[in-house]
Order: sequence, then structure tokens, then C-alpha cells
Amino acid sequence: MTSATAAPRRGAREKRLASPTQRRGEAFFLLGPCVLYLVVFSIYPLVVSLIRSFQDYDTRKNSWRWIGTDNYSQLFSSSDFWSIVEHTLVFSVAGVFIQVTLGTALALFFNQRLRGSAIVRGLLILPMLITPVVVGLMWRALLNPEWGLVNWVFIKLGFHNIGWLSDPGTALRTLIMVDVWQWTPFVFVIVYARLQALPQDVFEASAVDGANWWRRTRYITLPLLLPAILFAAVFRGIDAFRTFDLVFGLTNGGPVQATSTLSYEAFQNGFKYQHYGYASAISYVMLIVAAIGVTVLFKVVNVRREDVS
Amino acid sequence: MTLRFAGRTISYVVLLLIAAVALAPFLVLLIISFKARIDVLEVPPTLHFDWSTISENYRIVMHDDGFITYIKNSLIVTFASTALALAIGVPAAYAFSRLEFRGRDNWASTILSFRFMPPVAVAIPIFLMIQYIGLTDSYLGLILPYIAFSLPLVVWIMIGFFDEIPREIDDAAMVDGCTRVGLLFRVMLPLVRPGILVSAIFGQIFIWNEFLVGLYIINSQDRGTIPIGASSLLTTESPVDWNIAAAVGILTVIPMLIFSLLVQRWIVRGITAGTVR
Amino acid sequence: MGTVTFDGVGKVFPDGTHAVTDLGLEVADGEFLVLVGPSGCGKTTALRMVAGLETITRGEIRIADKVVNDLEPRRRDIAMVFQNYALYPHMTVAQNIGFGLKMHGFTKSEVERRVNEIAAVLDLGDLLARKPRALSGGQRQRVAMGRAIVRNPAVFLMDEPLSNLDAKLRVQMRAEISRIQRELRTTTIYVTHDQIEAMTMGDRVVVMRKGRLQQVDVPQVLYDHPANLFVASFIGSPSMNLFQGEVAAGGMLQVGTQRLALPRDGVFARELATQAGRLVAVGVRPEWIVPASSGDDRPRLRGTVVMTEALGFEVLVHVEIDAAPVVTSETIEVALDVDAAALADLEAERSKQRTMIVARFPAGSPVRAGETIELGLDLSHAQAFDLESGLALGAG
Ligand SMILES: Nc1ncnc2c1ncn2[C@@H]1O[C@H](COP(=O)(O)OP(=O)(O)OP(=O)(O)O)[C@@H](O)[C@H]1O
Ligand SMILES: [Mg+2]
Repeated sequence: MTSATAAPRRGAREKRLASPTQRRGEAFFLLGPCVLYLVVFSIYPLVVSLIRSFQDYDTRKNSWRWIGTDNYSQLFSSSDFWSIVEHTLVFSVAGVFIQVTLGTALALFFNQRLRGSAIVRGLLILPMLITPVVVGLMWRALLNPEWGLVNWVFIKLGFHNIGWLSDPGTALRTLIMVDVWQWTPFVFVIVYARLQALPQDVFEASAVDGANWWRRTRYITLPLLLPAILFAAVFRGIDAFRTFDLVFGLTNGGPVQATSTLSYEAFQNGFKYQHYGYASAISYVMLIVAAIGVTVLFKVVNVRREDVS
Repeated sequence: MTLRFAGRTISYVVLLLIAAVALAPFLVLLIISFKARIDVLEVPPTLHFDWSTISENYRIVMHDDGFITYIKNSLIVTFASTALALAIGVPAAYAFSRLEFRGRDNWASTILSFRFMPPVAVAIPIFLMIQYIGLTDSYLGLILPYIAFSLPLVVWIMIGFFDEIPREIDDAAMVDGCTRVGLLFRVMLPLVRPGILVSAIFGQIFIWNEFLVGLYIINSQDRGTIPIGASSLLTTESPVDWNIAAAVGILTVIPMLIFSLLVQRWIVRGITAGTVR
Repeated sequence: MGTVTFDGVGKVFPDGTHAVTDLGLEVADGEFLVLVGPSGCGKTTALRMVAGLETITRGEIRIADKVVNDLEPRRRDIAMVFQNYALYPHMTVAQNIGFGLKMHGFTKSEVERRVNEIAAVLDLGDLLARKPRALSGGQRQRVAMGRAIVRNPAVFLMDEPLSNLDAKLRVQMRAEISRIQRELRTTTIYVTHDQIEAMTMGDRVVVMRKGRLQQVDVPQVLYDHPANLFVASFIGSPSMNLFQGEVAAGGMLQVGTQRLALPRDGVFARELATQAGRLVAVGVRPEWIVPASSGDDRPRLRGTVVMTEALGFEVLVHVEIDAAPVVTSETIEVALDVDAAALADLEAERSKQRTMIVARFPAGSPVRAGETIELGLDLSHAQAFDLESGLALGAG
């Protein structure tokens, strides 16, 4: 009896079930809300942006007009755009390079036992938790050309008064400096955690072998830390590339666009001048770069750990 | 011996220096917030400590500028968005960790990649959408997009925590009589409590600080969160009242300072969740 | 009624691995059935299919005559003990044991009563309020057992439940599990890697290899009459000695340069009678090899003692004889399952065309490494196998 009915039923069953412990309804129940939510509040806006990037918004008539790739060609032929691309890249690459270097150095420094170092480690987390508007405020106070503490110290030391935020040649460097102040701790935390997780016997063995501190660091510690450093660098790189709020809080893109990033430029065009289409085109250029960055990131780190059976 | 001593001394000097660099901007802001408007412009900067000036500065911020309202709004929006993001994200992370379906890892990567999406790319459509459904100037108008922004992070962190729990536990619970969904609530949730804490913290930090999207969704002072409400005061290149601006800054920092001291361990765990596994 | 039936059961994983192939098996009500086999042979997969934790690709599994292929684990009336125990870390011992009852809708007082009852049986009374983290390995094991027993299911499924315990505890728990199972008379399928567990605990033992059933029988038959070379070399420790021999005319067996007289009658002789002129694999358990003495008429085999292992109550004598070793895919697989050294030994034997055999001598036997020795073989207990198919000769 059973064998006669087994064949047709089996086909039906395979369609219905991936496994007896895993029913389709459950997957929908667990994943559905998340997917649905992201479709509505992330994917749909992205699609709208994509369409807008081929359109022009007429503020008076409150209507959209299809203009093909005009926004993009206008963008790519604008020298302003390319100089902003350059700022953004300089800001991201230089900033992240310094952060990674300093963050790794800090991790190595904190690897020794010092009384009170735990407290300082705790303080280091604070900068990255502060809203960038306030970060901007703090640094504008510190760097104020007339009464700021930094310039006062500089003059006491015999330097010139520096226009940290007012000199177009210096402003981008100042922006990088503040970003370094805020985000070096992020790199530090990642690299330090990795350093703590390394097996101690490797270091002991190399110390017994007579390697000095520098050689141990150069040939053993740093190579072992490399994956963490790489991860932090790519992660920070993508975030720095889309930086908006620090610019907003510190320089407003000025002086004369010297510190404008792509995000800030898109924001200005979109919300201030209501060039929605043009702004969308800028964000799509950014999105493509960010997507490349994310692809690299997921090569560096496995999203899902391999199943250990 | 002496060499070692010298080395340690240098180390302590460096340690102090690190602490000084990390803290200097906060201290400068604090000192400015203690001053009367005129005294800000003093060179060299000096420390004022006049109780009546201090209380006057902070009173202005708290009452005249409506900072109390901002704090209340921030708390409501942050708490609601985080709770909802967890409610949506945790089950999804569990599914990614446990269920087998086609393209699972690609789906997971796609969701996580939203973490890196430039907010400007969606800010305008979201703003128009919120406007369209008539939610401008409302809590919900902020909460809805904030959930979407913190969701990828929640999923990312939680996948890591779920992956750490042996599958045998699932199997045992199912043999014991649970359904997949039942075991998520009865067995898994208590086990991933640290993960929930970590992702809640990160969601909160993000939402507490967000203002790009919120700036345009909220126009009235009554519904502004701290960064939104205070941004007009803080972002002008040269505030007229530096001392008041500084007080606003300090009042913004203090909740985060307390928060970070309380949950420091979990913040570190969250930052490293993506790497050390 | 707790019968379990495997009817042509197969499992193919999505990546194409054939973990179990065409498994047919009847587990009687109340039986203690042991699944044994080398690593990766599909034991766990077979068990998980019964539990409902793995889909069944082909065939049918029936519990108490009901097809369960589509049933979720919770509807199958089974309980399972996992290798790593899988205790719920956030629950106390009492909550761990009671969880299944709670899920099945028992009242609070009933849960409590049953948990206490089981705790008494398993000697867990003092630990009920503890979390698993605060338990020793043996105690965790007992909690895992308790969690299974308390539900009083139709079938127990156990996947290497003792493999994480140390040797002494393992012996103790082995006896305890057997005792409990005898008292409850609950059908049990028990997976193990350890053939001593298999032989001592099982009413019947199933030997699996590469997802296929090799032999199923009571332990003694498995030991005395292995169905093929694989079972022969897998079951028994030290394992059955295997070497090649040629069936010569006149009831003789040519082993290397030596010639052994076959017994006049008995199974072994009958098996070989049909094989005249052919090479066969000869299997002799170590206990049927004794020091040759002048008085007896057993066939003799000469060899060189390579090593002796005194175990107190007996001496294991490793003797190298002049005979071609039996190196087939079956024996290679078993050697591989033991360790890399065993495989290397087998390769060395093959290249030298000499075979290492092991004999069980009484304690105090005066043998030394290096000396040449005469062994007496009790061939009436020997078993012959076809070299090509690996099947036991005369087994049908
Ligand atoms: N999820 C899976 N996907 C693909 N192949 C699998 C999966 N699980 C098990 N296998 C494969 O199926 C075969 C049988 O595995 P199984 O776990 O049943 O072996 P086992 O007999 O229990 O071994 P052990 O004694 O090592 O526990 C192995 O080759 C294994 O690699
Ligand atoms: Mg197994």
C-alpha cells in the first residue's frame, strides 16, 4: 500500500518543504518584515533617485521632465564636480591612511600594561559617539582665529596665526585632522581587539628566539593584525567617502568649496537649490563607488561565518 | 633598571598626551560654556567659574531654547526606532543564520550593504514620501526612516551572535516540541541578549546623532531631536552666543558620556563584531 | 508501540553528497539498536532523518507504522540525546529537563512531578537549580539523558552521547544507559563510533559503510560471522587477522611459502572446498592463534615476533608472517578510520608482501621480540572471504 502511493506524493512533498524543520511560512514570517521594510524605505527611494537622475525638476510648475543623461553629462563636464571628487578622495584616502596608522600605533601602545590605561581607552571611544554638529562646534571653538586655544599656543611657540578653517589651502587638511580625531579610535578598537585575541605563545616563542620588539612587531604582530587593519581601512574608507555631517558642522563646504564633499554637494543641490535631478545624479555616482567599496569589504570579511558542524 | 624606568615614564607621558588630545575639545567647550558672552573673546583664554553665569547660560538653553523638549523628543524617537528595528531585524538575522534557501548569502550581503549607502542618495525621496503621507513634523515621520537606517546594522550584528550558538540547540528545542518560530522566542532570544544589547546600542548611537534626513522632515521646534533642534544654533560659522552654543554642545555630549561609560564594553564588542570572528 | 522502519531510505545533500543510500531496516519495539561505522559513513544522517532534523530524499521512514517523512520533529514522539548535549545554557537543570514537557502542554505541577522523578532516577536531585555551565561533563550527560527520558517518547535517538566523557565515566554511563533502557523498554537507536559500545550495548548492531548497510545482527554473530571484509576488519579489537592464502589440492592452504592443512570438516572447510586453486582472504581472530605445542595437531604457521604488548591478563603478540596482506578498499578504509599510522603499516605490508598478525597469548608467555615462533591456528573458527567482492564465502 505504502509503496504504491509513495511515488506521486514524493514530488508534491519536495515542492512544499525544504526540510521538515524549515517551512516556507516560517521563512516568510522571519524575513518578510525586514525585506518588505527595506524595499519600501531603501530600495524604493533608491529607484526613485535613479529615475530622478534622468529628469529635471521644474520648481515653478512642480513637475518632472525627462532629460536623458543630461544631468550626468553636465556633471562630468563641470570642473567644480571634479574638484569636489578630488577633495572627497583626498579626504577619504589621506584621512583613512592616517587613522589606520595612528590606530594601529595606539593598539600597539596599549598592548603594554600601564596603570590607568583602561580609563584612557574608555575615553577614546567618546569622540566617535558625538553628533558631528557638536564635533564641528568644538573644533571651531578650538581653532577660532581670534581667540581659539590652538592659535594662542601656536603664537606663543612663535608660529604665525593659521587660518585653519578660513584659508582654502588649509581647510581640507583641518577637516582631515578633525576626522582623524574622531575616527582613529574606531580603528584602534578593532585592531586592539584583534591584538588581544592573538595567541600569546607566538609572541613568547619569538621573544625566546631573541627577536627584539621592532622585529617581533614587524614580522609577527603586524602580519597577524593585517586582516583587522584591512577591514577597518575599507570600512572607514567607505564611510569617509560619504561624509556629510562633519562638513555640515565644521565648514559648510567652504571656504569657496575647498572642503565640499560629494555628499555635501548633493545635499546642497537637492535641498538648497532644489536641483533634485542633478543631486540624484551625484548620489548615483557615489552609490556606484560605495558599491565597489562594499564588494571589496565583503571580500575582506565573511558576512556569515562558515558553518561549523 | 633605569632604562626600564625611563621607558615607563615615557609611556605614561604618552598616555597622558593621548588622553589630553581626546579630551581637549570637550574641555574647551565646557570652559566656554561657563563664560559670559564677552569673556569668550578673551585672549589668552582664562578659566571663569562664576556660578551665576553658568546657571544663567544653562537655564537659557534648557528653557528658552527648549532643550528639554529636544531631549524628550530624542528619547522617544531613539527608543521607538531602536525597538522596532530590533523587532524586525532580529528574526531576519536568525533566518539568515539558520535557514537554508537559495541565494541566502547574497541576500544577507545586500541587506548589509545598505549600511554603507550614502544617506543623501535616499534623503530626498524619503523626505518626499514622508511629506506625501503627511508625516512631516511628527515622531513617526522620523521613526520610519530611522528604522530603515539602523536595520542593516542590527541584522549584521545579530547574524554574528546567532552564528555563535550551536545548531544542536535548535535541534534539541525542535525535538523537545518547539516550532522554528517558537524556538526563536523561547530559546534563542535569551541566548543572544548580549547581541540585542549591542545592536540596540549602535542603533541608538546612530539615531541619537542623525540629522541629515531629520532636518527637513522636522520643521517645528516641538518635534526636533537634539541634533535637529540644536543644529541651527550650532552650525552657523560664528555663533553670536558662543557661550550658549557651548552649553548646548555640552548638554548634547553629557547623555552620550554617561551612556558610553555604562555600555563601553558592549560598544567595543559591537565594533569588533564584524572582524574578530 | 515504538517500531521504526527504514524503507529504502536515501539521503542526498544539496551539494551532491550521498550520505545514506537505500537503507532498509526494521527496529523492533523495545529494541536497543546500535549504528556503528567509521567517520562519515552516514550514521548521524540516518539518525537525524528519524528525528526529522533532516529531509528524507528517498524512501520512507515509519515510526509505529506511521509514515513520518513530512512530520516535524515535535510531532514524531521521539527524544534525542546529542553528542555535545545541547543543553539550554540559560535554563536550570530542572528547566532543561522540563522544557519538552512544557512544550507538550503538561501542567506545571505535572512537569515538576516528572522532573523530580527523573532527577531521582539519574541522581540529579541536588543539581536541579544549577545552570549547565556549573556542571561536570558527566552531570551534563545525565541531564541530557533526563531530558530525553522524561518525555517518555516512543523512540530514543542517541548520537554518540558518551564520546565527550573520559574512559572511566564512559564505562559507567554505558552500563547506566543500558540499565535504563532495559527498565523502560523504549525503542532506542544509538549511534556510536566505538565498537565496544556497539558490542556491549546493542541488542542488534548495524554496521554501515559509505552510507550503505553492511550487516545487521546480534553482536556475537557479527563477531563470529562477519558478512564481508569490511565488517571483519571493523569489528573486534584487536581486529581480525587477514592474510591471503591459496586453496591447494588435497585440503591444503598455501600461505606464502608455508602449507597448512585445512580441518577435515566444518564451515571453513566447506567454504573453501569450492574455491580450489583460487586466492582467498583468510580471517582468524587473535584468540584463535595460540603458541604451538608438540601435542596438538593444529596447522602451524611460522613467523617473527615483532613486538609484544603485555596487558596484564594476556599478551598481544605481533608476529610478521610470510603471506600477502589483504589490501582492499575495505581494509584501507578501516585503517584510515583508525589513524594515519595504521594506513602506513598497511602500505608497508603491501610493499613487503608480508603480513602482521596479532595473537592473544596467555599472560606470562615467554616470547620476545625478534625470535622466530611457531603459531597454532584454530582454523575451525576461521572465516574466508572472496578477495574481489570482499564477501564472506559460503554466507550465501
Ligand atoms: N549538511 C551537509 N551537507 C553536505 N554533506 C553533509 C552534510 N552533513 C553531512 N554530510 C556528509 O554526509 C556524510 C555522512 O555524514 P554523517 O555526519 O552522517 O557521518 P557520521 O557517520 O555521523 O560520521 P561521524 O562518526 O564522524 O559523526 C559525510 O560524508 C558528510 O561529509
Ligand atoms: Mg556523526
